[in-house]
Amino acid sequence: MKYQEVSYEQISRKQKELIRESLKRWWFRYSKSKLSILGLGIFLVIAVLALFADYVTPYPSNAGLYINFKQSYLPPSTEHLLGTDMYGRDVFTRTIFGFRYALMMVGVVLGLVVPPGVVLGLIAGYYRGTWIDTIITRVSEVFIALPPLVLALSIASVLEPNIFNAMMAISLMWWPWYVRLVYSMTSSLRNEQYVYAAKAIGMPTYKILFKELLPNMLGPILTKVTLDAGWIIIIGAAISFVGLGAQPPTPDLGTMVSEYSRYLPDYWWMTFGPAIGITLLILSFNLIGDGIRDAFAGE
Amino acid sequence: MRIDNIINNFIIRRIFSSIFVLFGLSILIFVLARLLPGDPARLALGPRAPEEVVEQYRKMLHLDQPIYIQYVYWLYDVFHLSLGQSLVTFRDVLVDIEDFLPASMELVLFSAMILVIGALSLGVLSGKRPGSIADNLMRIFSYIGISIPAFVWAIILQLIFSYWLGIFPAIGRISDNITPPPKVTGFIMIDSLISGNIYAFIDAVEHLVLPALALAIGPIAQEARILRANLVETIGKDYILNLRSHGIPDNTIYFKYALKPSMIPVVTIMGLDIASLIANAFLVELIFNWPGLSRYGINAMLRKDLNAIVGVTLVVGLIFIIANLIVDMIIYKIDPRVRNIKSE
Amino acid sequence: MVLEMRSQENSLLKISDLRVDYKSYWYFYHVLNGISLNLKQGEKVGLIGESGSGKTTLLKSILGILPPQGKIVSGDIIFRGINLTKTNNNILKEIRRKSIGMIFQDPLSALNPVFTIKEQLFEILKWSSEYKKQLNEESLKEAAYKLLTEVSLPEPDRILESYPFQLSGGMRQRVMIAMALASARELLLADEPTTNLDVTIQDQILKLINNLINEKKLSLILVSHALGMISKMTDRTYVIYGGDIMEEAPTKKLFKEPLHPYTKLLIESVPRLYGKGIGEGIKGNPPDYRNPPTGCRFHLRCPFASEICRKKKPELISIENRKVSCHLYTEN
Repeated sequence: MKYQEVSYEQISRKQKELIRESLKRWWFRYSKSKLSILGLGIFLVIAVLALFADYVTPYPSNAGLYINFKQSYLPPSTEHLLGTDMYGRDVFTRTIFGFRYALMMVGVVLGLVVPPGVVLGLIAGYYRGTWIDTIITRVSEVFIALPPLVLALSIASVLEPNIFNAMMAISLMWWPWYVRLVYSMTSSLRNEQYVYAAKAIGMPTYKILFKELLPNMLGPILTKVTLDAGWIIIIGAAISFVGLGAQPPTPDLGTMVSEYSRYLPDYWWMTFGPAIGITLLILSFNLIGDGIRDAFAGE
Repeated sequence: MRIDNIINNFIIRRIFSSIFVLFGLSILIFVLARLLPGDPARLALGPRAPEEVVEQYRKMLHLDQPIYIQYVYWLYDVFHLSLGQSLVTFRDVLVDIEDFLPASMELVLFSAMILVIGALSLGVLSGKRPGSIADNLMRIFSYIGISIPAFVWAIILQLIFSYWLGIFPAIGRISDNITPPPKVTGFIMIDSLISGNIYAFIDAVEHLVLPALALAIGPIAQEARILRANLVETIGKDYILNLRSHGIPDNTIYFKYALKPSMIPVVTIMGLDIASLIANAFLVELIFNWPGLSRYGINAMLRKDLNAIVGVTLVVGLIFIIANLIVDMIIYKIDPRVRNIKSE
Repeated sequence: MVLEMRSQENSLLKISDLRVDYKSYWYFYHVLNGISLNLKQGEKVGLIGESGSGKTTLLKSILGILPPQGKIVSGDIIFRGINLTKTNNNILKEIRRKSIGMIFQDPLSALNPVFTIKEQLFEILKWSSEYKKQLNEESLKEAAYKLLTEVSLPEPDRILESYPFQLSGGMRQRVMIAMALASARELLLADEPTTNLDVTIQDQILKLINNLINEKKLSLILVSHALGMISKMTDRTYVIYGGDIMEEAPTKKLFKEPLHPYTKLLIESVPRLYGKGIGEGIKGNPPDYRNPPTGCRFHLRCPFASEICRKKKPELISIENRKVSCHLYTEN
C-alpha cells in the first residue's frame, strides 16, 4: 500500500467510527446472554426505585424515625407488601430507601478508590523494578495482608459509627486491590511493541500510560468494578450489621437486617425484606459483571 | 540438591516478605487505633474515677508519650508475649485471645473442610457435562450462593433448620445439659473424642454444622463455578486432545489430566477464601452466639477497647498470612511451573 | 467398475463430504464445507493451504478429537472399512490407541504442563500396547526407552523426569513424535510438525519423520504451509481453502503446473532464491466462517472470479489423474 496524506479530521473520524463499531459489537455480545440482561434489568429497576423512593414507595414517611404501634408486627399483605416492623413502619418502603444508601455507598467508595488505585498501579507497573514500584507495591501489600472485612471493621471501629465513616473505612482498605490488578496488567503490557513505538516517537509518559496502556485494561477493570460493587454492599452491610456503621433509624439494609433479626423467628418477614434487597442488588452486580467480562473476552 | 536449594529460597523469601508485611500491618493498626478520639484511659476507668488514678493508668499504658515511643513500648511487649491489657476484661489481651481463639479455629477449620469437599465435588460434577441438568442447577445455585452474604445465610439457615425444622441447635457450641469435655486442645470435637465422650462429640458437631455451612456456601459457589469454567476450558486444550487421540479412557483424562491443571488456579482462590473465613466468622459467630474470637473482637470494637482491637486484628492478620503461606507451599508442591521460576 | 473396486480395496482412509461446525458462545462457524479425501495404504499425502483454512480441524475430525465446541455435522470418515463418525466408542478408542497417531502443531501446548513426560508417555504406552495386562513399570520403561531412542533423544532418563517446559523446542517435538509413534501403526497425521522450530532443527525433524515412516511403512497425511516440505515428503497433495478442497494432484505435477488460481497464487507467494524475488502474497484474508462467501469460497479473492463463482459452488472435476474445483475448468 502507498502512503497517503491523511488529515487529522480523517483520523479522528475514523477513530470515532471504530469506537462506535466496537461498542456496537460489544453490546451485541453482552446482550446475547439472557442472564446479563436480567442483571441489568434488576439493577435499573432498583436504581429507578431508589432514585424516586419518595414518590414510588407507599409510606415514604416510614423510612426513618416514625412510630405507630397500632400498625406494628403486621405480616405481609396487599397494604404492606413485606409487612411492618416493631414500630409499625412499612418494611417495603424502608427497603427501597435502603437501596438508596447502598447505591450511594457503592458510588462513593468506587469513586474514591478506583482512580487512585488505577493510577498507582499504572505508575508502579510502568516503573517496575524501581524504588517507586517498591514503595507502592509494599504499602499495598500491607493492606492486602488482612481480610477486607476485618480491616474495614477495625478502621470503622476507631471512627465514629455512622454511614459516612463506614464508606471511608471501606475506601481506605480497597484501593490496593486496584493497584494490584492494574500493576500486573501494566507490567506485562509495557513490553508490547506499541508501547516501544510510542516511546520511540517521544510520546510523554503520562500519555503512554493513559492513552496507550489504560484503554487496553478497560475490560478487566470494568469487570472488577462491577463485581466489587457487590462486595462493597456486603462489607457495608456487615459493618452496619455489627453496629459500627449506619445507626438506626437510618434505613440502611445492613442495619435493618441487624435490628430485625432480633425478632426472628416469629416476625421473619421483617428480616426477609432487607435481606432479599441486599441479595437482589448483589445478584444484579454479579450478573452484570459476568456479562461484561464475557463480552470483553472477545469473539 | 539444587532443587532443594530453590525450595528453601522460595519459602524463605515468602517468609521474609510475610514478616515484613506483618510488621507493616502492626504499624498500620497501631496508628489507626491511636487515632481514636477520646481518652482511652478515661474510657476504661469510667467517668467517676478520680483524675489521679486515670493519670496513673495513662502513665502505665504510656499514653502520655509520643506515638512512636508508644509503638516501641508496644513492640517490646509483643516480643515478650504480651499484647497489653484489655480495657474491658483487665486481662492481657493475649490471654483473652488464647481463650477465645480455639472456638473460632474449630469453626473455621470445620467450615474449610465443608468448603473444599463441596467446591470440588460440585465443580467436577457440573464441568463433566456442561449444559446438563446438574450443570444448570449448579449455575443457579452458584449465583444465589455468591449473592447472599454469609451473615444472611446464617440467618436463613438458623431460621429454617433450627427454628422451623428443629434439626440443628440454634446457638452456642454445646448444649447446656452436656458437660463439656476437659480442655486439652480447646476444640470440643477433639477434646470429646480424647475423653471418650461420644455424646459430647455428636452434640458439638450438631452445633457446628449450621455456622460452618453459612460460612462455606458463598465460597463453595464461587469456587465450584471457577473450577467448572477451568475444566470446560481445559478439555478443549491441545494437551487434552492429544491424550484423547491416543484412546485414553475419558474418565482418566477428566479426573486426572484435566482436573489437575484446572485445579491449580482454584487452589489459590480457595486458600484466600479459607483464610478469609476467620474474617467472615465475625458476623456468623455473632448470629450463632458462638463464643469465639470474633465475638470478643466485635465487643472490643464496640467498646473501643484499644489493645484488644489491635490484638485481635493482628492475630487475624497473622492467621491470614500463615494461611496464605501454606497455600503458596501447596501450589509450589503441585505446580511444577512455579517451582521453575528462577529467583530474580 | 473393477478399477474402482480395486482402488477401494486398498483405500486406507476415505473421507467424503465432511462438514464441521464450530460453535462459540456467540456464533456458528462453518469451518469444513464438505471435504472429501482419499488415502491409499502406504501413501503419503500432503495438505496445503493458508493458516485458518481448516487443515487442523480436518486432522482432528479424523480422530474424532474436536474440542467440545466443534461438531461433525455430516459426512463419513471410513478407515479400513469402519465409519469412524458412526462406530461405537470402543472401536474408535482401539483405533486411536493402535492404528492412528497424530503429531500436534505446537508441542508446548500439546503436552500437559503439570505432568512429567514420563507420566504422559507411560499413560499412552499403557493403552497402546498389545499386551496391556502384562505391563509393569519395567516393561513400560523399556518401551519408552525404545521410542525415545527411535526419535534420537539422548539421556532418556532425564527427558522422562522432565516437565514439558523444561525441554527445548526440538526435544519437545521429538517427544511429541515419540508419542504419536506409540499409536501410529498404520497412519501418521502430522500437523505442521516443524513450524515452531529453528530452521536448523526443522530439517532434522523432517528427516526423522521421513525415516520413521519409511522404516515402519506408515501412511502419512502431512499438513503444512511450508510448500518445500510438502514437495519433498509427499506423493499427492490436496489444496484446501476456506474448508473446501480446491485442487488435488500428484505433488510434482501440482507444483509444476497448478490449475486452480488459488494454488497458483499460493505457489507464487513462496519466496524464491532465484527469479523475480519475493512473491506478492494473496490479497485479502481467509473467509469469515460465520457467514462464508456463497458459491466458491475463494471468489472474493480470486482474480478470475466471475458471476457464476458467486452463485454456484464448483464441482470437483477430474482432469487426467488430478482433480480441480473451479468454474474456469467447468465452463467449456
